[in-house]
Amino acid sequence: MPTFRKLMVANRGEIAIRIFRSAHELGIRTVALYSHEDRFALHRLKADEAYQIGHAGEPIRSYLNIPAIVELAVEKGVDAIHPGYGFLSENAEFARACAAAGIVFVGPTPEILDSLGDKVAARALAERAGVPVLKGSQPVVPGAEARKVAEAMGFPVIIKASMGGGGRGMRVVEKAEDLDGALEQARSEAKAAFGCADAFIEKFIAKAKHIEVQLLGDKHGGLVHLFERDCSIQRRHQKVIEIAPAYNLDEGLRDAICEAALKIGREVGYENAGTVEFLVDDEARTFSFIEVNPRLQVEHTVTEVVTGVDLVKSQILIAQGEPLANPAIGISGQDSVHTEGFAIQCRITTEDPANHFTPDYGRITHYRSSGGPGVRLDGGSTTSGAIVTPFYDSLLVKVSCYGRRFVDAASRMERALQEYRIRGVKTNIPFLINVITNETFLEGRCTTRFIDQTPSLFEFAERRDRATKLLAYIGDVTVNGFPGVRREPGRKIPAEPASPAYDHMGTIPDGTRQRLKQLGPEGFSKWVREQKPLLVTDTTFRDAHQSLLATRLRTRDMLRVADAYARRLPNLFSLEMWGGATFDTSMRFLREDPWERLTALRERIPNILFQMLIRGSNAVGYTSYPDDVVDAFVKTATDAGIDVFRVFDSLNWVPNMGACIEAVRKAGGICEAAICYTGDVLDPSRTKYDLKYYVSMAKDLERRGANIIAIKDMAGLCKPPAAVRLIKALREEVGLPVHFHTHDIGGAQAASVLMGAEVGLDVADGAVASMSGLTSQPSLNAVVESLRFTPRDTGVDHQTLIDVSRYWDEVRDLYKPFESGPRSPAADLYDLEMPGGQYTNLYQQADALGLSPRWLEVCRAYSQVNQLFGDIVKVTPSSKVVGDMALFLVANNLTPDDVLDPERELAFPDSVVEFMEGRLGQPPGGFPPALQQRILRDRKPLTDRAAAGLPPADFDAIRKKVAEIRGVDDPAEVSDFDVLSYLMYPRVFPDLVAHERTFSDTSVLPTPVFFYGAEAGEENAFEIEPGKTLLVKLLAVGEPHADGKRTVFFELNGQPREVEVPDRSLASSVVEAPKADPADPMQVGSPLPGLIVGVAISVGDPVRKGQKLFSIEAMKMETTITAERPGRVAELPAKVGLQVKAGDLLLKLAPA
Amino acid sequence: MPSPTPTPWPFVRDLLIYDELESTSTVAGAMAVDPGRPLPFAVWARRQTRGRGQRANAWWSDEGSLTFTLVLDPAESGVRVDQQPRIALTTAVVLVEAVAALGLVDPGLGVRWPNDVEVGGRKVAGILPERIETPAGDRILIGVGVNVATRLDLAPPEVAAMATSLGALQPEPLTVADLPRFLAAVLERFPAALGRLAADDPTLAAAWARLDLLRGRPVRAAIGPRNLVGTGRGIDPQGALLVDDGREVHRLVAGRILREAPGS
Repeated sequence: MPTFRKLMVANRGEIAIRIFRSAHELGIRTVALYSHEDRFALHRLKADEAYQIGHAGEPIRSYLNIPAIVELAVEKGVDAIHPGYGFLSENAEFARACAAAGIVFVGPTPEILDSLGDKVAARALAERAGVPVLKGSQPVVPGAEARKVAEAMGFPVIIKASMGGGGRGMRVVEKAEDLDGALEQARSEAKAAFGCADAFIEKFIAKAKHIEVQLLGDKHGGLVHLFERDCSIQRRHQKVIEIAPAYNLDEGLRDAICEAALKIGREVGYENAGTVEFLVDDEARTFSFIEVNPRLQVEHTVTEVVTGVDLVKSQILIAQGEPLANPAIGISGQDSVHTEGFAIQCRITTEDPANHFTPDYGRITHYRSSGGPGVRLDGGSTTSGAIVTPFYDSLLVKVSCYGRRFVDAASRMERALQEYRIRGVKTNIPFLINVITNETFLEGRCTTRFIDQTPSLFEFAERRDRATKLLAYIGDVTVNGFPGVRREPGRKIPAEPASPAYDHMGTIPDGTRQRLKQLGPEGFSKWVREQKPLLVTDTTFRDAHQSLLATRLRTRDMLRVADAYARRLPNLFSLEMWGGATFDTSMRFLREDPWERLTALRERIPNILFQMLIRGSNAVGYTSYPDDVVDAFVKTATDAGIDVFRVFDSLNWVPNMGACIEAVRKAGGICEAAICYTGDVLDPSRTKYDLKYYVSMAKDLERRGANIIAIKDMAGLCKPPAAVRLIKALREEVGLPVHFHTHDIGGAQAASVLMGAEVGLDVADGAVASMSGLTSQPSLNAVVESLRFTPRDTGVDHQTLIDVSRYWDEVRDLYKPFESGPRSPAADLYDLEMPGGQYTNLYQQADALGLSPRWLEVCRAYSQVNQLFGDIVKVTPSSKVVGDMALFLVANNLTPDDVLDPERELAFPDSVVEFMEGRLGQPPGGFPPALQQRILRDRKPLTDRAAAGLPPADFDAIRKKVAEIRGVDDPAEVSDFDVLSYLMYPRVFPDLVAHERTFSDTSVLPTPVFFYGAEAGEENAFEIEPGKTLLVKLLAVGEPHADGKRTVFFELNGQPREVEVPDRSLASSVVEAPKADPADPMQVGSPLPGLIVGVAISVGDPVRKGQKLFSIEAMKMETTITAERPGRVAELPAKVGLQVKAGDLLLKLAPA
Repeated sequence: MPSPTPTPWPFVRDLLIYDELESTSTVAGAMAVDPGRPLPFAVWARRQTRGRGQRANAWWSDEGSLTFTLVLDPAESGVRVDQQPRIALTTAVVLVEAVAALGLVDPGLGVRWPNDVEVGGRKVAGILPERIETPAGDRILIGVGVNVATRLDLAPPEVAAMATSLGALQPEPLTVADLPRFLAAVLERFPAALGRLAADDPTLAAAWARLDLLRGRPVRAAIGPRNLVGTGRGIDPQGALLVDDGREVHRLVAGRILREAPGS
């Protein structure tokens, strides 16, 4: 027979490519077939010629269309057709059609296909050949006969389709009563899949190995076996991993099995390649014939690797008429075949093992293949950008690994699987890795039930894929921007600054933290009072940026300067670096964990006291928490590294501070009890908050166990002479050190610090120069420099403060969009009494309501409200209540008179109602009764502290909830940090977790990228963990797609990557009042335009015909709208006070 | 006891006159739902003791006050549902026309949107429209109180500061005897006015726009839970008050115009 010139492959995917390769090596021209659905597949491009077969919508049928295929082959002058596996490979009709057309079918003869295709006939053949077969039956139907047969075999039995294969149509039956039902199903499946309903029963071996033998026979009677493969690793009767040769198989058994295969081959005069499958009972050392597959198998690769024989080439040469002894095939007799080493094949598919192996579809966005020593890859369409379609099986690539010993092959396979990076579709790689590293597998003891009976194979570590998630975040910010940040076109985003220099080799000197550990809180407090130098606290890490930059400073920018602080500023009293608004803001806006900020900074700065601001029973939240929660919070914070707790109450109500003070003392921290300063001790007419008031509060706090008294001058009202009077009095009357905290809103507060120092102030707060002044603290640099060469010299290094100030100055540049607030000292602050932080926040709140042009009105209203409330201390959260009320008045153009007008139906802000209820505590002098009554109406006010009435928290239940949010099975694995974060912010914390799940930990991103997204063409490098740096470059942002998403193109570590980002500006932002559908009698619309002044129903209410629903007023004419039909209120958009147009939907009824 | 009077009264099929009632609108309302009652009809009380007003504004009246409620079927005049809210403005136009028709002095009567007739910042007449649904169709009730000859000099000072009477504006005072002809003059002009309303006649809208006392004046309107503060920019043909708050011109179809607070 002449050699083939043209070989067609009537198949697709990886096997088609496999065959083309061998054909090419034989110098044969190759022809591919592809369906319409496969037009982008790789195999089409791997052949010399490729032709479409069939029509769109026939993905499978196209490859089964015998006449079309044969016709095409004839037309194109094809000499031979290789059918691959599956499809037409075992189809005798196809083989005959080829022969009739004068085309060589690469495979056995049609007669062999006939005789071996029928599984029942094949069993009979095996018996004739003297090969042990499993007890099996003829085709049976449900009924008594079938049951008899099954009972004779003994349960369990397996039902198989006579004309089937590939694991389909099989059912294991354990009990007699299930037999009929299983037979029904198997028969109907078989009919659907193979066109013939015949099914037979076979004895089922529970613990068996699946061993198969590769046969190769030529047209001249030559027949050899190429030893065996172990395919026991199956899932639902489908092979997952195959090994050649079988590991841990008794030698005698191996020889017998191979010999049995040859017997069957000889019995039928087998030609070309085929596989004989056996079930082997390892312990009993018996084996039984299952079936013959008269074609090339998927797992032929491993036999090729260990024998050195190219099976496909051999098939083609055999089909050409060559004998096995032909040097191109290279088999001069059975003795010339031997195996060397071990080969393992894994099929990498797009099945998702975490989701019941459901096949995933989509575009492969990134494909990084394995390779290297001992790795053979047989892939289908495996490139970045390839589309995985749902029409065909989910096989991506077959990975075959070779090793001298079995364990070598296995470890090589594990390495190869780990190397793969496939993004865009799910793969079964995590599952394969679990199997390949499993002890039972490595000992060669796997039976066919291995996978189904080993649940640990299905435990997967959560996929991290941080790089893709971070790219998704960067893409999102680039397209949609960051809330509150407007990108100025053409503005160059500054680079991140370098950290100030410090000696990397030197040790960190001891500081106040070591001293505290030495002396304990009481001893330490005494030590503070004895110090000659003025001790200073740097608030840059907390209050300074809270006041100036809306609390937006990120942990990353703090960590960068931490080492310089520890080494060069060890004699600072403390760093105020936690609490206040940072807890909320870090989670809500910066998407960072505040606890991580604390622990990371603590690690870098082990020597300086860490100080936090804690709002009494509110801890770091906006509402009261039960005492046990405050306890837990303080304890956990102390363990994590907080030393000094500045405890305050927003109304100076000491009973409200008690629980927190207790908690701090219990935890062993320093309790710095704060007195909020308001009013003016210099003004004799302001008697409410005179010197006596402050001294008596300080004495009360001393009695309760405070270690330090803090003056918390949140509004910068404590003028220098007032500071002198107050500090002097406190130090005289109370034995504790005094710590002064102020905001430089008015511009004279450095003087308060310095004059206070003259009369014995112990500790003062300041912020580094570049972050000081105005709404922040007075300049620490100025205070330190002013006291130089004086008896109260602070001893803080002058140059370091300059270097550190320069650093913070550069950092501040990155936060430009968050700069707001006054540009100069205020003139009216002593009248307004607005705390420093609130100047910025309230303005932003007003801006969000569109009221920034009326800022002066807001300020005026603020003062009015303070007086209306009885002149209260204004600090978070009481200042928020005053601010909310002021905004409420201005936004609705209401005056205090309108507030008191009993005729007006006003919906006061929640914060105001809660304040009047006493939830924040009792202000000195109590609440103004008329106002309280008006606002509360029938709600009863509290007289005790709000926290006292709260039941203790159910930590177990909270833990369970947090475990749910984190997606963790065991609540014990949940961190205390998470529990407390959730307790404080039950809505923000889950958002943060969701953010981390979607975008991973974005705190690793450089600040410019985090806020502004990426600049096209600019390379950003950042570490996601020590030693793992990502190089990200934005290439382009695509045009929006129909679904409102844009593709953003990146280069990640030099490789192209894409992410899909929804463009939120494309979403409709217009909110139209819904209109009633006039054709729908269940929808009630307004008959005329007007104002809804009465709504007589609620959602869920039943409605009678004629029942009054609404009153609408239009130009004084009040119209009553009544129900025209009965029903139940389903939706109720109508609200009192709503202006409606004619036709606006008021009510949707559901049938009664 | 009501004394039914035959049809010398224009427009109405029935005019029921009472010596004293708590409120003519209450009585008229009860009668309006009676399907046998011919429309239009009116209820006139020579003395009204608890006249309705929005909220607790008791409408001060003595026997010099003309207090009546007119009940009509809007469909009969072709007035659509969306036109019904303009009834108060229409009635105000009718009142002012009646004053002129009677040859009385009009020193600058105007409409304080949407339902007061005033002059010099003091109320002369109040109109309270109401709409009732009955099985036989909508019924519009128009409660009217006109200080024709009311002796406001005898009223409490806070009322006297806010109201005046037609009589006080005339060279010769008016008396109780003038009430019937005033009522007749009003009733006489009603059919034409309703016709203009039904036809969206621009001259009617022009009339109430001309009478708008809030044009160019500062306005504070209570719309439910908030106040709208701005300047009056007229009354549009749909009867809505236009208020310019400096950012946009709002169309008010409902709401209460607040009296200016002192010092604001």
